[in-house]
Amino acid sequence: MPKLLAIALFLIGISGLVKAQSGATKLVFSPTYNGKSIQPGKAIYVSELQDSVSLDDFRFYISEVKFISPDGSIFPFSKHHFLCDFQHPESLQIACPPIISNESESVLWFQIGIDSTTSSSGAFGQDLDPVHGMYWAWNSGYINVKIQGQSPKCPARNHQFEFHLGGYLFPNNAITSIQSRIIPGKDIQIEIDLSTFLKAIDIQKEYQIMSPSKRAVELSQVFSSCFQIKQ
Amino acid sequence: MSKKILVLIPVLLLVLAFRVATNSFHLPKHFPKPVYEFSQKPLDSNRVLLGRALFYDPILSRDSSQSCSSCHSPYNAFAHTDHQLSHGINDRIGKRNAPALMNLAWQKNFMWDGAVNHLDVQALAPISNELEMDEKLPNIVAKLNRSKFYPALFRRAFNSNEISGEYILLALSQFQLTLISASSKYDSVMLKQSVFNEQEQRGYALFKRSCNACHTEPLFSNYSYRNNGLPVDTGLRDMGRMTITQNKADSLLFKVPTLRNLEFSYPYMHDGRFKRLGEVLNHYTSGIQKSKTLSTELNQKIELNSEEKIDLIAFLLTLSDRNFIFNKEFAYPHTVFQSNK
Repeated sequence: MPKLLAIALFLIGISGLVKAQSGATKLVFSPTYNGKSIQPGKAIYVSELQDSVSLDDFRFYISEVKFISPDGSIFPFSKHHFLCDFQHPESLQIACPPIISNESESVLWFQIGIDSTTSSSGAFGQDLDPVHGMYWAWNSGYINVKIQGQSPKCPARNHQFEFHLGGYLFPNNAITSIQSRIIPGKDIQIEIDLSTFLKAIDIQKEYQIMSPSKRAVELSQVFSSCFQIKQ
Repeated sequence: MSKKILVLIPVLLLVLAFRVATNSFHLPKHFPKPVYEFSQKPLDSNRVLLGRALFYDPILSRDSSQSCSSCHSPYNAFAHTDHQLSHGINDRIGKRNAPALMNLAWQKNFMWDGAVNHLDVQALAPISNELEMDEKLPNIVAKLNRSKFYPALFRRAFNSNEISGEYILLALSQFQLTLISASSKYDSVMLKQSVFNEQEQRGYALFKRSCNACHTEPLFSNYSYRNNGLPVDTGLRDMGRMTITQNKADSLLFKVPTLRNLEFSYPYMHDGRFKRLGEVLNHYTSGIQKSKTLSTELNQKIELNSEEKIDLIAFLLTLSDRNFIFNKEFAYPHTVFQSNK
């Protein structure tokens, strides 16, 4: 019995030296409008527009996601690129790698969009497969963010607005990055409040962007500011 | 012979049958290092064959009427003779002349305006252009999955039961990478297997004096973008590379095309405005239209008398490569289609 007690005390002792490893957690992206969940095809009232807006296609790329612990250790996610599609809720949840660290905080870092090297290195499969329609055929490069829908005040055909934001070449490089302090071991809720985006555009005048441009870069930055990381 | 070896032989043969680089493919000794990274994506005979079948199959177009070869015929050095502008499904007329396809592994960007940044994604442009094939990749994937023989071809090429957009594009790229033209008379002279006659030699000297800066040997293009002084077609109002870069300095710039096989690939220029080589030379000697973006090489007038023009054309015809034009490995794959339809 004293032997067992000694062993138990020894194990407890060394356990303090072993770095803590977080359990399985995930990033959960939630498209919202002023905190209310957005559903495909379901209208939301945008007071600034004095009109309703419904989204039928909302997709974006998240890339090079990683945790960075205070000692500089990097914990990359399972894939380099994730296509998040609000028509497919499972794509809005991304499993996190375990963080092995003594510290109670780490940094979550990721890009919204696809980097220039990947954009100019030919065809890829899985989430990057051009079959998803997130690749420009007439002017090579990925569409980082696609926001499409309808609004009665939009003067386009069928009141359809289309924002295809992308571009990887200077001066129209539209990729953005986000970082935030997080506590390892807990799910990370990332709210994408599109009210910020919809307030930044006048849908009666601006309803189509489908190529790299200065405005696409500006709206990509606005889209990036829609991300609110919570735990 | 041990049992192990007896078992290994068929396995080895099977692996070889499915994963052999194309035997006939080699990089010409007198060519520079290719741009395409073969070390990362080596050629594979099964992928090349699949790409060849796709290249000649109208299944890639929305109404299954147009294949890549409709505008890129092997007998025209994979260009489209007699058509100034490419034409697609429902006889829709495109904006530009279908360029000849060859030596693509040495090109960094594609299309007349350089809109496409990698050969592996090039096919997306004509497939999705509504004036050309007007089709979407998901539809092609669905059609190929319904085919009697494509699933097996994809399985052999990629060791996967999946037909993806990536695989379709890679296979098309693999076939097009094999389209190497390097066995013209010019090439045999460079390899010291032949000699130019006197007229060709005089033409070669003129070429080096007046043309080689942009149509650089041995590929006969430096693949840069230049304004070669063509008056703007007021019907097309094609601004060339500026459409892609939004940069005024790129106004009216188009990719310098290769001169190889130009005997077969007429008409010439991005809009196919010249039918004969004589017209092209006349443009360079007396038709240059000055503008802010004119290629600096053309600031000084090119002087060629009528005899020199004939000599120059004699040299240009040494760039004709009949082995390339009539290469059976580049032709319509009768065996694939006949044995599977």
